[in-house]
Amino acid sequence: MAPLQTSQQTGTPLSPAELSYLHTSLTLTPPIRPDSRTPTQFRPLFAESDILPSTNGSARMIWGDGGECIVGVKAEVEKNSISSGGPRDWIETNVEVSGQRDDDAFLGMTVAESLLVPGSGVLERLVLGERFHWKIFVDILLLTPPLSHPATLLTLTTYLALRNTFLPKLVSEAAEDPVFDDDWGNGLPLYPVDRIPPPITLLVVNVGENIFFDPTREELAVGDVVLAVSICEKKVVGVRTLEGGSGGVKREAVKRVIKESCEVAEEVFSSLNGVGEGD
Amino acid sequence: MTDRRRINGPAEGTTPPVFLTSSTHKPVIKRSPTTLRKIFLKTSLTPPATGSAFLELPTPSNPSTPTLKLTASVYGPRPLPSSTTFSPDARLTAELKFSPFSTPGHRRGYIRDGVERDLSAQLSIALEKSVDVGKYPKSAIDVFVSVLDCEGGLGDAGDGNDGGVEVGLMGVVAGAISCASAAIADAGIECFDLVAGGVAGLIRERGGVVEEDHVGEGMEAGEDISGARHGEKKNRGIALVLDPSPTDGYIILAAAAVGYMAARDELTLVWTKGSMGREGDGTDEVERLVDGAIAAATSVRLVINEAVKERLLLGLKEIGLIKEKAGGNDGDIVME
Amino acid sequence: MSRYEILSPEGLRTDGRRWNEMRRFSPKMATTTAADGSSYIEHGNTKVICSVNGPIEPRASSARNSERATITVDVCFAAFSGTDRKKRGKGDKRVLEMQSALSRTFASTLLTILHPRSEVHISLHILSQDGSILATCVNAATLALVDAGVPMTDYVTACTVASYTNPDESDEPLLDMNSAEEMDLPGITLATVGRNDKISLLQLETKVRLERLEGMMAVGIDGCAKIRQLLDRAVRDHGNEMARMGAL
Repeated sequence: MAPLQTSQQTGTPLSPAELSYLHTSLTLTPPIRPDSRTPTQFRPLFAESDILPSTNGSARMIWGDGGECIVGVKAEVEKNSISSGGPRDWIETNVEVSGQRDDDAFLGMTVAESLLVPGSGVLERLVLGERFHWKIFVDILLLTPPLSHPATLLTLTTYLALRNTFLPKLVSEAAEDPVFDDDWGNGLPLYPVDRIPPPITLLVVNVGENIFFDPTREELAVGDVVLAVSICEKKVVGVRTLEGGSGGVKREAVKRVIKESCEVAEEVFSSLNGVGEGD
Repeated sequence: MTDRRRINGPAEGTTPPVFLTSSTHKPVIKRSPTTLRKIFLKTSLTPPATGSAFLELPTPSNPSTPTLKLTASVYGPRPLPSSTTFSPDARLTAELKFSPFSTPGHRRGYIRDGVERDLSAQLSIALEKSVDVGKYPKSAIDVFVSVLDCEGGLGDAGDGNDGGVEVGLMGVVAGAISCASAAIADAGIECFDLVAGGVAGLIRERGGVVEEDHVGEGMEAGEDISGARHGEKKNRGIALVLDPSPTDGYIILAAAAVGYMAARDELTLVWTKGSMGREGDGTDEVERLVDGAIAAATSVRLVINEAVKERLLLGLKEIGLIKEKAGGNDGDIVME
Repeated sequence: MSRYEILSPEGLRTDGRRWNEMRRFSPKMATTTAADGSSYIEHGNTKVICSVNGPIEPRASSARNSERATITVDVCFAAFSGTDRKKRGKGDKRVLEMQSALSRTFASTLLTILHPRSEVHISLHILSQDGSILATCVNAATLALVDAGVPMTDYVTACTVASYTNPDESDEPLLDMNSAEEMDLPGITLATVGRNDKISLLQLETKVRLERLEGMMAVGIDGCAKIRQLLDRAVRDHGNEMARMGAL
């Protein structure tokens, strides 16, 4: 099979008649999805965390359609400097899509924006005494063929990696140069269990009266509106509109999509948290 | 032996220039939180383009303070390049570019960076849904937006970071959407509706005065706006600001930008930043923000209407369809 | 030269191996359904993911040859793969060199003549680096090519050998360098085709005394033969598994 040369945006290989059929079956009550999933059901996925010893935290996730995402989180000690942009620069996100020359701007911005949302408390945990701080690099490697939009896969993997990110424990005083505990067992989690967890982004498509989660490329093509909703502990931390769909969408539909995303995100969080325990 | 490969400084050394530190106090907010800034919008200013528009927000009291200025030009519908595959619809591409001199404080490079690519993508999404692309098969419609001046708050290094959400980019996107939509109309391309961009933000309110929650950062804005939040009292703590500017000095908790087609009551773009929860009394902050941004966009829509109409009447007059002077002011279109 | 001993007087290396011992080598085949062939190899702490697409219609016209298939290789170092975070661009000299070395090695082993005007695309992602990167890339690509069913004469397997100088000036070859040894010792990367000792790739980046080279190559060829066995077992296991699942 030759890889499809069309990008995610330039549509599917389906004919207008096929798309119309798909649109109709998705607007039914109850809707019928091509892969017979329920509207809120995700495709099966395989996930593992802590796969790379040279990183502070890592995770790998594989969708059934072959989409694969690997996230490595690395932390470096950096001196506080006035010239840099302040705490906003302390977390750097990079998305590299295999086979693409440019880094993906949309995905990178989505992740970065939702990670850096004020009040998440993570930036405070990066402070190392008075003169130093951790700089976190979140490098996301997507080995996905353009079969579906990678936003969901990518953020779920990032969530898993960040959840499993540990930073060495600081043993020096605030005014000194930072010295760390050699024992990795004493490492401190970047996102402690009792604090606000890292955000996830769900891709949601609205077709008629129905809302679908984890849409395939075909479902995206017939959707009225495609939204990427970032959620962090019952709070919406970002909404973005994606290409796809025709014409505008009523505000009620947008609100409903966002509301339902919050509810589904709860379940996603709890199942993701189960990944670590299963290992 | 002097090193002639690079440019060396004078041997005796120089004294580095000393700049006066810019005054750190935040500008006084003159607007009430729910008042929008006036918008200057004029179409057909770029002769070679099929359609074009220029948008400017009013210059603040201090002339050195930056404001938003951008131009949009539309080319097309024109044939797709021969290398591209068949497309039954028109392909709309939008490109947003910051001029190197547009950002306050520091020069911006020419190279297209992630921010520009991201904003370009959002702009094209917002516009594409308003254009009747089915009417123009095998065609390309290219929209170019050039930001000549902006108010900062782009999340760049060097911007003051005061713990809030940066709304600069949202303001740029909203302005670009409005301006580009006017330019598309000016180009005579068939649309379902005009798109207007609107921004709204949520700020913390305390003790009847809109105020930041960070202790230690004085803000002189309090007394000027004390009369402005009558409608927002019931939602304790959180107030809505329409069309927030990075120079206003608010600490913004969350912000939303929308692309809104007022005549159809439909959204083409939703972009939010910052964390939005559900309040105790059941009002959803997301809903408030989106509604606020839509309200802002609805007002902006009036300006676009006027700008498009002005140009249209002028054209009709030129070809003699209208004899007497048409109603409406023929000067700058200014929204109150 | 260095603070720690590369080889202790007892004949143990920093990670406890003897001179002729390899690190744990665990190959996995058919790891993703997205590509025609794929593999994942962990060699000690070096981890490489490989996917192969082909033979396909060339994506660029420059890759079209009317005589034979063209082999294109993309090597990508993940930014988090090393000790320090480092982003390598596509135009990095070392990456380009690896790509051309890999493409030439496989051009001599694949039966490219069977697929004219086609392209075989090998994409390698290095997730974690701890020495012997090029060798692991060769092994991963071989396994993925087998999975993709691209016709080839035999396995191409590779390993590295370092040359250690004892305090008494005698020399000792060390099989399979890790990154610490790669840093301090001169070493070769060597790839052989099949069971016989036909060498298809030999790379030496540092200087080494000529008379030592033969000893190093002999050790390397033995190492390659061992890796060939391991790869062969992975392929057979995968085949049995497929047969058991009813795919064959």
